[in-house]
Amino acid sequence: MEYLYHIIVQVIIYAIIVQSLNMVMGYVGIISMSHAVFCAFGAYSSAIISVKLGGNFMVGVLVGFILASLVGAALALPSLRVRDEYLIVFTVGFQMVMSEFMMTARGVTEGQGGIPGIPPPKILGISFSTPLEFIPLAFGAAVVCYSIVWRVTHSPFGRVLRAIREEEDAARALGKNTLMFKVIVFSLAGGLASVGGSLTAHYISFVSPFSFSIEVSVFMIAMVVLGGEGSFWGPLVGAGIMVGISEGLRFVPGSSSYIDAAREILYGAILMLCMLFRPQGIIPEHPKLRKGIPREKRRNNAKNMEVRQVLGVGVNEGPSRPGYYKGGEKILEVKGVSKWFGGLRALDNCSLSLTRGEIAGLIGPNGCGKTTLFNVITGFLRADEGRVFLNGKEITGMPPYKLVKRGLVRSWQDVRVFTKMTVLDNVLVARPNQDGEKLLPLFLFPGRISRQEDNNRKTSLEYLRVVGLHDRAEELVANLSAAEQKLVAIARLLATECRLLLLDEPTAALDFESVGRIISTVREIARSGGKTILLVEHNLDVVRGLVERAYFMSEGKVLACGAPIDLMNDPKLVEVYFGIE
Amino acid sequence: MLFLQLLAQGIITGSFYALAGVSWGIIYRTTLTFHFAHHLVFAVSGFAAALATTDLGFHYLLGLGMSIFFAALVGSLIDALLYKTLRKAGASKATTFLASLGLATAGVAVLLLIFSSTPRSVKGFPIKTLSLGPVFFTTADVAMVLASTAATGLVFLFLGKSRYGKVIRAVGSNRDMAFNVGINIDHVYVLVYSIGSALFGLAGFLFTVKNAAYPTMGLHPFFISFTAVFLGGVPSILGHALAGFLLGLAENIGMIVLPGEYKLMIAYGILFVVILVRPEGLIGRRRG
Repeated sequence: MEYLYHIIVQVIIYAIIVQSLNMVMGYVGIISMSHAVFCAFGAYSSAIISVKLGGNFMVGVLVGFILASLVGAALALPSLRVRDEYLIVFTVGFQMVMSEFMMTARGVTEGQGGIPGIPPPKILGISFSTPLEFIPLAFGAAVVCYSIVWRVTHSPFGRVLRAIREEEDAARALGKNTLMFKVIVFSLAGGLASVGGSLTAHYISFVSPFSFSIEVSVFMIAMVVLGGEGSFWGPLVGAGIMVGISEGLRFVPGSSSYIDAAREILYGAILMLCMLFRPQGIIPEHPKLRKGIPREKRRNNAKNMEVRQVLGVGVNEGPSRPGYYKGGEKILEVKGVSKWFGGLRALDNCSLSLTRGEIAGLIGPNGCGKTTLFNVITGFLRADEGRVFLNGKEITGMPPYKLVKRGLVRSWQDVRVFTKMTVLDNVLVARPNQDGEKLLPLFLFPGRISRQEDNNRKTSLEYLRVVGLHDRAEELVANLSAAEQKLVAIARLLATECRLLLLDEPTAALDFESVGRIISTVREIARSGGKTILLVEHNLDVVRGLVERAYFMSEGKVLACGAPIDLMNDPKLVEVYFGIE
Repeated sequence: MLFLQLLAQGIITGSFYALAGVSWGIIYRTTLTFHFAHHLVFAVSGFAAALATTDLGFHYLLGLGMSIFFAALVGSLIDALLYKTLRKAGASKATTFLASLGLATAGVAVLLLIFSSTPRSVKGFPIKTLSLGPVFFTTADVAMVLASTAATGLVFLFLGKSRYGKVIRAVGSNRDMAFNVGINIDHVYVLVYSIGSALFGLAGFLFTVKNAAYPTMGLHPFFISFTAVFLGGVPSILGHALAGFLLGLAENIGMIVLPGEYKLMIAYGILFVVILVRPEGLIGRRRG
């Protein structure tokens, strides 16, 4: 019986640790290879405080929590500059360095011998010494930990985390300070893992560096993967199965070193086989996700239709007729922007401006620098020269998330919707000023946040109605067709409430019918939504149908500006565009 | 005097690290797969060397050959059996990494199960201590420096000049484009895994000569190898070699002021600072 209680305690403690790792791996999609070290911070803090300093259980837990949170935050900092693969590099390195430290720093950790004689925890005079007594303590800790993780992940905050996992750049473009989110989550995950570490130390009354080696970190990763990355109850299932296997192996006859090796083989094999045959784990995050390529709901009767027929405009009609553009208050001004890539001058003294309420185009042959200019304006690239102004205020070099607050948002040529989130969540995540995206209000003012959430939900459904997808709000975006995904991306832009939209090839790779649907939506937005739009587009018919004024770019230079019809009648530009000799 | 000895030690360790960096670098820059099982390959080469020369009594040169052969075999099999399957299933980078991690964990444990953790050494390699003025080193150290320089130079020439080298670079810079002009991506990957693993096998043989073979022997060289790659900058093979060399130098020269336990911390500290200041690495060019 005692043994059964022992297993239960083990499962509960591991369930806490694995849940904290799941928060990083499952919700933000970052692999942390040093999770055992975070546990070590808790375990060693508890050990040193209780054995060497004679301190209380709670003091040890608290000190461990603070230390591990700080270290977690510091580890996430490099993601300011580099892609997530580098975080694997940093965490593997951190794990190895800390293992070495625990082995050798005798003054602090007592080296390989470890620290024995850690007393059982005592809270308010109640001591928890036997496995049976320990169960309520561990269970209480687990309930607190799971409640925190639930609140964090099933909230506007968690929605942003999943958006970062799906498409980090897109999340940044919607105004999220993604670095901040990563730092907070790493920090919180480190802290929660350290609580698990402290409990283990007090439970087995001994800490040693071997309990926190890289193999242990891998063991934890295997539990997350087996349970199901990003699923809330997955960690409990993963921990239960893996601890069960581990304890079960004790009954196999043979020397302990063989059993240890066999256990490692089993963990490694489980991890590998999961990736090969069931990457979503035992409890998948999205049971409804359909496999394979989403079906295209396309009626092909629009096959032979010209785009301008869909638009309902003739060549010389529509908003693109000369003289339509009258000028007015400037919303965006780009002055003399240049950008080099190594020796290549990608942008050469580019200038352009947008007037409030207009739809302007940016056209030019492939590789002429349109997207680069876009990236400079929207803060994804830093200009080497020149300045950018929004509403008369300088925004040169500002990060994307600040630009969104000032009313400028962009879309992506390759859509970058958050595929493993629902249509509604894709739009909801774009809503500005959500208090639920901050950790403190999330826990302090639940009422305010749920009211905000209700309002945002209503507004988001309205925007989905604009693009005609309100009846599919609860569908996973992965199950939508390419055209529908582009419409989701447009609804997402609208939800930011930005006044200036920069659209990067909104109709690329679509059939005629879908092009028509997108175009009429864009036009409707500009006309009745009071938005200003800058459009990068290849399809000249689309440009003609939508745009009052276009800038023509070639080889990094803005060559001309005028009504599309005039640009297209200019033999010199036509030559540049089509490469006709 | 101490400085000269540490400098020489730095050059020797640096050569080893440079070879390790190039071996993982050629794989990573081409496939962009975080090949964690590379350290398993290192251990396989070490055990191949020890078994061939000790248990089977072969000449050490044959042991060297078997080291390189088994390393290349295991490396290419990992790609052909595991990574290729994952590629065909459209697995993400993270998925492939986790599978690689699982394989490495299981593989090292299999070695542990078969050979136990007792270190095994290479027999027959003529180790002599040499001296150059006040500086002492062994024939194994000389072999390390020569092998690393030669191998790095050959890889550099191969990638730069040969037809296959061009194909490998093409796949590394744009996989889809390379596929569209008719390059068989799977063949190129297997080739790259063979080359990278063979190089690591060479390093593994020399490591085993100087130290011994044990199941987790590859972990530290592997850590150094990817540190060198990211430190040097992913696209540049010379950058990987140079960064590896610098890590070796820094680790040894750093011992003038720091105790030996901080070796790893020096490498890690350098990486952390450099990546924060120059994310594209020492030599790599910033991409747009």
